[in-house]
Amino acid sequence: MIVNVSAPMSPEEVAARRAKARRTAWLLGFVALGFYVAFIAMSVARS
Amino acid sequence: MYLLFACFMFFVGGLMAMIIRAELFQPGLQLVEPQFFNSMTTMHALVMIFGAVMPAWTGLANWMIPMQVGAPDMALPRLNNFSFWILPFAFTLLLSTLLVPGGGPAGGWTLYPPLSLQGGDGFPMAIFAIHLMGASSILGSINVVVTIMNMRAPGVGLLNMPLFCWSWLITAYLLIATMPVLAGAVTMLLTDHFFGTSFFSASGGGDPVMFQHIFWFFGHPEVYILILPAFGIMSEIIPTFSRKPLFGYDAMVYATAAIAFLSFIVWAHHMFTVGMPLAGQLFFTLSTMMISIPTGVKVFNWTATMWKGSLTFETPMLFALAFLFLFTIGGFSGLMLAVVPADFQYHDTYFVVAHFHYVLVPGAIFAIMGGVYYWLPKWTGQMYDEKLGKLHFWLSAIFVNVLFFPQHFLGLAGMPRRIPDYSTQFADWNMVSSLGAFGFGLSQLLFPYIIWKCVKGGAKATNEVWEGARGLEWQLTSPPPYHSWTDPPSREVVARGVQH
Repeated sequence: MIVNVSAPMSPEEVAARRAKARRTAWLLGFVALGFYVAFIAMSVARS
Repeated sequence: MYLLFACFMFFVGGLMAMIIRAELFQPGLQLVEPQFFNSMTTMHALVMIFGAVMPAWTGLANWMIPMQVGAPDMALPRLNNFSFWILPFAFTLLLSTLLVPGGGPAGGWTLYPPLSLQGGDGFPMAIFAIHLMGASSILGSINVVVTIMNMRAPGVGLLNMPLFCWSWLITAYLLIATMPVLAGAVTMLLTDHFFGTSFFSASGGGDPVMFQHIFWFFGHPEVYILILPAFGIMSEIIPTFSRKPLFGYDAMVYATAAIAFLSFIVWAHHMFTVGMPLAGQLFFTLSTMMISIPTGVKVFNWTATMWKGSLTFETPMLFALAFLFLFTIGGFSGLMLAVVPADFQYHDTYFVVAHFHYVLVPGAIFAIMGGVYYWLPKWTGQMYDEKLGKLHFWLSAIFVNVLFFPQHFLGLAGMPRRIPDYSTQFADWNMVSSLGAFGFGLSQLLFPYIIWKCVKGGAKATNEVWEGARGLEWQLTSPPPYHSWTDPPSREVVARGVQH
């Protein structure tokens, strides 16, 4: 068995953490998309 | 799932390597057509990089990061599921190119135009497969970043979490920044082939060298994507079996970040021979050599961790020590390749093949195997067969050198890479290398057998498993609950488990 755990998180804390996780994921997704578009745009500009 | 997939693809890629080495066993065309041989070299690389090593790292991240940061699971389990299930479709698509007219991609994993644009019906399939692999990697990386940044238990700070988490965090940022660049490059290849654009076609005003710049802007960080998590695993295994805390934790974190930063400014050392201004050659030579500084810090710190430690040599430690010696050999041959006049001689020879295989096989693959042996008792609750583990290690360590060390000599003597036939002067070392390959390939069959045997039964593992183990995962039961830390660990548990 697992010994010595902290008090469980409240539903509000869990919801806030979930929302923050989703925001971070969307942000990183847009960063990745930005790199994809930027490199194609750079190549279009060069050619 | 990721680890099983990676293991399966390791043997698929290994089978391709066996075909390559069987063909090269003697001079002359023996077994396969040159076109198929070229497909094998290309597919072997794509399968091993995107199908074996990267999914293995993601699998280890999925299993270990939540345990190490005190979280119940990865932050985004559905995204995780999606990123995994893309992979079987991507690799079915890639491998099925071998069955269509024109065969699989055969221009090398670098897909340089104009050669890659001359591919048959398999060309768009391979491009789509690469897009899928890239999407899977990006989604997996997003999950890692989100988990580490949002799911750490109270008391688990950024500068006391395990170095496996740190190295994966940095790897994930590298992946998010570079995978879209590869996707952009292959999208442009696709439009050049099918939609009449001329990004890389000189006849239409495009520039084939631009593809090389874009590809290697992805390709060199990709090398570190494959090796940084290995550094993280070394920083877990070596302190455990030295029974000492890791020497210079902060320096290790900064060295990893420095390597990641430098990996973005060294790409053109892969293409010195295309012709570039002297200033460019100097810049890329010096920036490449600078990578040896943070890497040297790491090697020094691992050695200092072992210094006056109470060392024991269980299988994970043996793999870690082999990593330390053999990866360093790969690093040194990399330094030789960074010197422009020398690179002009070595470029596109077997010396390069020997260099990157020393980095990736005793580097990435040995680290993955060491990591699996290290954490297998935690996952299964049972110890693996130590004798068989050591046998697996010694066979692997001996044959990997028989396989790859002679390739240095072949390269220095001028044997080009990616050829199915060669001059008779190269016959002896090719035969030795092929014998090493068959021995290495056969000895890897032990690995799934040892895992299977451990899953089926074995001595009961304690929660701590290894005497000197530190980290939150060792505070959990062996095997851990389905959701590792349903409730965050208390600060006392975190204090016992953190790195320093």
